[in-house]
Amino acid sequence: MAKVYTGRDGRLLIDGTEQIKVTNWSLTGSLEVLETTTLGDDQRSYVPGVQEFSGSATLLYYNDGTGRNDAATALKKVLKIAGVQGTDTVDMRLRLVEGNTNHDVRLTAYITSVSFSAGVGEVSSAQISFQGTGALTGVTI
Amino acid sequence: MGVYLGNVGQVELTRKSLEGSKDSLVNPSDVNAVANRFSFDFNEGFLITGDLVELATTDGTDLDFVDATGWDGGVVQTSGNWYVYIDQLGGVKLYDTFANSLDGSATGLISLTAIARDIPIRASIRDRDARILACVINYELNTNREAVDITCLSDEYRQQYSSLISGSGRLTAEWDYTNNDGDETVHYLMQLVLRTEIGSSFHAKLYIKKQDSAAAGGPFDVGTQTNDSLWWEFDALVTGSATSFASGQIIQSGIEFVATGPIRLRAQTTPGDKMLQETGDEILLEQGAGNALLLEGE
Repeated sequence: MAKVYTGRDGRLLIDGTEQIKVTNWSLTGSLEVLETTTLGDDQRSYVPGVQEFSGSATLLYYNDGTGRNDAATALKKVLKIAGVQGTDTVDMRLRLVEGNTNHDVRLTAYITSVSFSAGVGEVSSAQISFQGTGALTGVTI
Repeated sequence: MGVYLGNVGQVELTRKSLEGSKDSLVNPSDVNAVANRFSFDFNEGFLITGDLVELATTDGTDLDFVDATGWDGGVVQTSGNWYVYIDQLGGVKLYDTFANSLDGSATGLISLTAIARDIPIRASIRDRDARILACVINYELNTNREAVDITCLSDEYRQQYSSLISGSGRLTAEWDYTNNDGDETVHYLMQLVLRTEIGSSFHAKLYIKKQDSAAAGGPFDVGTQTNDSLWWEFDALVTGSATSFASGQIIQSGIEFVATGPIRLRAQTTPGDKMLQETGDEILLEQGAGNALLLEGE
């Protein structure tokens, strides 16, 4: 059946927990290419180099009834006194849902930047950026 | 359901300044004790005829350029409140009542005394008297509630979160500038929009139904509803004025304003209980005759 995906189908999971009040996420995958063109060639040629994955997401700074605040949890990945350790990676799953089927891109990442603000007439939200490390750990798109 | 016409509405405003006071200096040469007129350094438009102004010395000395006859009890003090009349040269005359200050005549004029020293003063607009705005043809008030979109991924319906409230409006009145039984004229609001130093704020009560008014038709209980009154109440800034002239037509002035701070929709549907003295007399407020101290509703 034809299907157009929208924000209604989107989910974001961090360390296996579906995040609440996510307004957007994005993922960029890129590949460095190494040129192998030589004298006498008529066309440029390349070989694959290193892959890179990064993205961003925005979460409303929101406490649910139980005191859970996913935005605060994400912010604390960077806003911490002890400094970021090599083990401070997160398991991120960027998901689009179709019925019982999940279309996921899963990666291990560091939260590389966070920002949040309060403005007159605005809802406070946290913007986070993440940088993948290593290979993708799952792709089911 | 009763049917009400615009005739049951009215506009009431209180002069005030949200932006503070003005410090200045009164020199001996500023006081003309013959004409009972004085001046101090203030920008054109800082004071408007009819303003109730508190004058106070800032060095603790007496405000002795105001003659003792102009003080309650005949004793000169460090501060006092008077209504002002501003003449064409920016001079200030002090008056005992609002109506007298609008006339600018000798009636109610406070006598001044020559001084031999500089007196530092602070001038503040006092918000005390609420007055009806005369000859209002129509008014309009818009209140808005902003909504912030908090729709998130996986939501199927947009979700909104209520945010800030704002208000704005306009009114139109027939133009007049003279004393009108103690009512304000729209000319005051036209002057207010031009006032620079302390802003163009005023306190407004826009009545939907004033006291002693009735529905034009439909069910209406004369015994219990006649004295009901309902009104919007807020502080506002005049943001624009326009006056139209056409041959053979009444001159009308339109005023635009924006509300600042809270906007309340109030209603008084029960007669207020008055606090009385032991003698049985009412306790009157400074606002003048007929303004008695009321008990807070239960």
